[in-house]
This record gives sequence, structure tokens and C-alpha cells, in this order.
Amino acid sequence: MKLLDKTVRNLLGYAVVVLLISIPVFYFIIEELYYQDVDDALRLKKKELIIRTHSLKNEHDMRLWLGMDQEVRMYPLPKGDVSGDTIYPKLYLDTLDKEMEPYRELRTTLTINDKTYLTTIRRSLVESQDLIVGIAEAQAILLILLFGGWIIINRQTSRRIWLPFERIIEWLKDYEMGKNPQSGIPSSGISEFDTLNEVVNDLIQKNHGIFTQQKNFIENASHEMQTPVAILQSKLDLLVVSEGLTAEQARYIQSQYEAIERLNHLNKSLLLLSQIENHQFEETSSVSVENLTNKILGHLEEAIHDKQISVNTVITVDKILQGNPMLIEICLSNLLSNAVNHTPEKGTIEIILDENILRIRNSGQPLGFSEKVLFTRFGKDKASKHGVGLGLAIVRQITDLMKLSVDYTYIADNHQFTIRF
Amino acid sequence: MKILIVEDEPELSGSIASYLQHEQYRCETVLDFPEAKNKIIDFQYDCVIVDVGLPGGNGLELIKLIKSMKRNDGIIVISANSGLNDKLMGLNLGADDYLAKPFHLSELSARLNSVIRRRNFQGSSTFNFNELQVNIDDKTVLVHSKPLSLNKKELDLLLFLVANKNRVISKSAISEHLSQDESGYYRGYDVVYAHMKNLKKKLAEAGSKDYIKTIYGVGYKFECYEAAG
Repeated sequence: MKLLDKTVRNLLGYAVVVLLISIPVFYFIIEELYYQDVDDALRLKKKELIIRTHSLKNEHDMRLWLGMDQEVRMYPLPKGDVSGDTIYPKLYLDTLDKEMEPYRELRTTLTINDKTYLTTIRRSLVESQDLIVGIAEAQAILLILLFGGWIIINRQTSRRIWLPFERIIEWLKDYEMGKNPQSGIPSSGISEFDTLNEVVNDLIQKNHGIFTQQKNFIENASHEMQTPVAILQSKLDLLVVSEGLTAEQARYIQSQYEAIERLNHLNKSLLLLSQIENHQFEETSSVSVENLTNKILGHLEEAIHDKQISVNTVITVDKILQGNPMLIEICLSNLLSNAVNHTPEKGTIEIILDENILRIRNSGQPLGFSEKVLFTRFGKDKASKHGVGLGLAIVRQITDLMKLSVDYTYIADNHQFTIRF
Repeated sequence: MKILIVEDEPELSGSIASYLQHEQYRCETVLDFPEAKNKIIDFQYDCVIVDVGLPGGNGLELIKLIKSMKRNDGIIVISANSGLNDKLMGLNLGADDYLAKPFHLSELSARLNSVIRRRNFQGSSTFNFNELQVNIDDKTVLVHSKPLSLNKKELDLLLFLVANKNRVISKSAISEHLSQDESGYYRGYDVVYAHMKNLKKKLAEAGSKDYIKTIYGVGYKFECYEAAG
């Protein structure tokens, strides 16, 4: 849930609760206030009645007077039966509408000319009800407007306030390790976000620095290693041509050569990986996968022949790749050499190429280690005699760079690598 | 033949000089840029072997210097930076060849031979030894005056052996030499064995004596002591 929705949702919930409670409460309060007002009026009327009735001298006057005021009724009571005032709601039939209408009524006893009368004074509430409903409605509209406006304004303000935050998020999303990061976003004028911006910016610059350093470190280390290796190798070259070389010395020299070759290969592979990461292979051109495959198979001819491997190439259509020719060659060369190296004697290699995939399949025993580590650097526990454990990591790095995918499956006693274009 | 070796690592330049002295080259070594500059201005060399990364300057500047003086010294660039840039820049500036460190001295020696041969227009680009005749420039081999058909790798191998005749070449150097135009994978010595076997077989079938000696499993030597060609 978005932060904005979360705050608005809470506000909206509160507004709804307040509205639902306040409208009936408000209605009852207004009604109560109005009743009090009516009741006050009734009491006033009673006082007025007491004063007015002093001037009434006989029964006739009274009937006449009562006939003029529909609101007041009097009923004679036995003398001395005096009770206090009570006010209550009561329904009366409206003679015109034939409907029961609500009234407030004050019941009291009045003494006129020494006679006691039960007196009721009533007042219609018909108009007042309309008024109360009207007031309640106006109030409800007002409240809805108030809350609605509040939420809308809050939402818009929040959106504006959070804008710099979202820009920071966008900026972080776009950030890629290794790419030169743009330095932050312009100041938003909100100190919290400016601080966040600064902190994130610092962090990214620092990370970028470390990353660059790390990348350059591998490259520099590889380069720096070339010179001592070159010295070692040159001394071996001198030893091997020196006079009086014995068989024993030759054996030691040979194993040193082999160790140096391994070191050299390792070094070159690391350097290659770091150069790919550093995007040092910008040059691209069209590369025919078919021609390249045939060229590499040509290089591998002796090994294929030696191990009596049968190679079956099924090319439906030649695929032309756009990319760095050297990298593509290294990639295919690693996969094909791998296949040749790991195929047992008299095994088979099948190469399938069409518009969408290049599949290299070779017979052989299952891996003996997790597929997950296949493409990782030095993933295998034991380095094989064929390489230093970086061949497939290089393949993965190159396919990643070219936005291709490579996967491995083991089906029916066959190792199968598939590159999808 | 005078060679100038410009390399800041004394052990490496010492090795190079020591190896090349056996081939009748007179080698001078310098360790930094200013000294190299002075030598190049003052003396003429048949070939200058120049490292790119030097104290006091970039080795590529020395190529520019030689070219600006309109001199005919051969130039071989050696560099620890195996990236394509140094190679392309070196060759574009007019260097004759390029070698990435680490390299085998036998490889350097073979390249040096070829650079000097090309520079001097010596014409004698043919190696004759008894029944064997190898034409280095047009890459043909004759045994008893009859052409011998070799594939590219076998020919490569024979030329490399001849270029380092009478010296042991390690399997390691041969393997690297044969796979220098291939990218990527570590291939071991299978290639060396296979091509060596085929080459020897073809030479023998054509009636050539076996001049290629195996040296204790560490390498091979092309022996032609009696009448050096």
C-alpha cells in the first residue's frame, strides 16, 4: 500500500466515523434545543394567559376568548385540584390534512374567577421538523464538504511533498552498479528529503568509488602479475636451452612450464572478465554463428579426431549476431572446447543452430556437482585438468553483456547448453 | 646485428639479451625512457624491442621518435597490457610486431628474425639443409626438390622450429605459438603432439631425415649442426 493511500485511508475512516455519528447527534441536539425553545414559549404563553384571564369576568367571556385561540383549551376541574406544569409531546389530528401531526403541549391548572380549570396549551412542531431536517442536512453537507476538501487537499499536498522522495526512488532504480552515477537530484526545499538525498548520494558515490577501485584492482593485479610471470617464463626459456640439460631437470622445468601456463591462463581469464565488466569491448560488427562455429571446430579438429568424437551439426538457418567478434568467439570457443573436453572417447557432440537458439549437446556422465555453480567463478570444488574454472563464468558474462541467455540442462545422458538469441 | 632492448625490468631484459646473444645478436639494454631516447637518437639499430610501460614515458612515444627520424629500425612492441589497444596503437604507429607479456623467448626470437629479414630485404628467405628446403616467404617446403604438402599448422610448426634451429623449444612455447590466432581456451599439449606427429610422419614419408629431436618431454629441437644454412 502506498504511503499516500495509507494516510488518506486513515483520514477517510475518521471522517466517515465522525460524519455517521455527528449527523444524528447533531439532529437530536438541534431538536432538543428547539423543544426547549418551544417549551419556553409555552411557559411564557401560560404567564400571559394568567394575566389575560384576569380580565375575563364570566363564562361567556371565557368561551368567546377560548374560541379565538385554538391553541388553548380549558376543562373545568373540581375546586382545589391543583397540579404543577407538565410539558409533553402529543399527536393531534389535523382537520385539514386528516393526518396526525406532532405537538408540544403544556398542561397546567389555572384559577379563573375562583374556578379551577385544567388548561392545555399546545404548539405545532410541523414547521420546526422541516427546519431541523433542513439544518441537519445543511450541516451534513457542510461536514462532507469539509472532510472531502480536507482529504483532497491533504492528498495533493502530500503528493507534492513526497515528489522529491519519489524522484530519489526513481534515481535509485535507474542506478546501475558500475555505470557512472548521476549526482543526486536537485534540492527539494524539504530538509528531510534533502538530507536523504545527500545521504543516498554519498552512499552511491562511495559505493561507486569502491566498485571502481575493486574493478581496477583486478585489472591492475592481473597486469602487475604479467611482469613477474614473464620473468619466470623467460628464465625457464633460458634454462631449457642451457647446456647440459638433464632429464631430471627437464622434468622439473616442464612442470614449472605447466604451472606458469595455468597461472597465465587464470590471469588472462580474470583480466578478460574485468575488461568485459568495464565495457572495454565496445567495437561491434556482424558475426555469422555458422562460420564461427566451423572455424572453432577446425581448431578443435585434432582433439575431436583423437577422441573419435562424432560431431553432428544441424544448421537450419545461419544466425548473424551483432556484437564484439572477439567476445562472441571466446564465448562459443569456451562452450565448444568444453563439450570436446568433457565428451568421453567415442562420444557424440550435437550442434543445433536456428534463428532462435544455438544448442550444444554432448554425451557424458552427470555433473557430480550442483548446476547452480556451473556458471559461477571458480564454482566447482576441484579445478579440472582442462581449465581454471572460469570458462563458463566468461560465457555467462559475455551472454549477459550481449543480452542473450544461456542455460544448462542434463537430458538423457547428454549435457546441453543452450544460447537463446 | 644490433638490438636495443628497452625494458624497465632488468631481469626480463637480461633474459632477452642473454637468449638473443646466442643467436649472434649484439644486445644493448636500457631501463628507462630518457636513456632509451638518447640511445635511439645516437645509434642505429637493426631492431628495437620496446616495452610500453616505462619509467619516464610511454614506449609508444619511442616508436613515434624512430618514425619521425625516418629511420629503418625494426620495432617490436612488448606490453604487459594484453588489451587490444596497445597492440593496435603500436602497429598503427609503425611497429613491426607486437608481443603481450608473458611471451616465450623462442617466440620473440622467431619474430625478431622475421622482422629483421623483412627489413633488410636479404632475399635469403630460404632455409636449406641437406634434402630439406624451406621457403619462408612463400611458405613452401621441398624435400629432395619435391614439394611437400603440409597444412597450415604443420607448416607453422616447421617454420617455428627452423627459426629456432639448434635450440630447444619448449612444448609450452609451441603450444602457444600454434594457438596464437585462437581465442580463449586453455588447450594443453594435445595440439602440439598431434601436429608434431603428423609433421614428422610427412617429412619421413617424403624421405627427409628426422631432424626434430624430442628433448626429455620438455620440448623439441631442430638439429642441423653439420652445415648450418
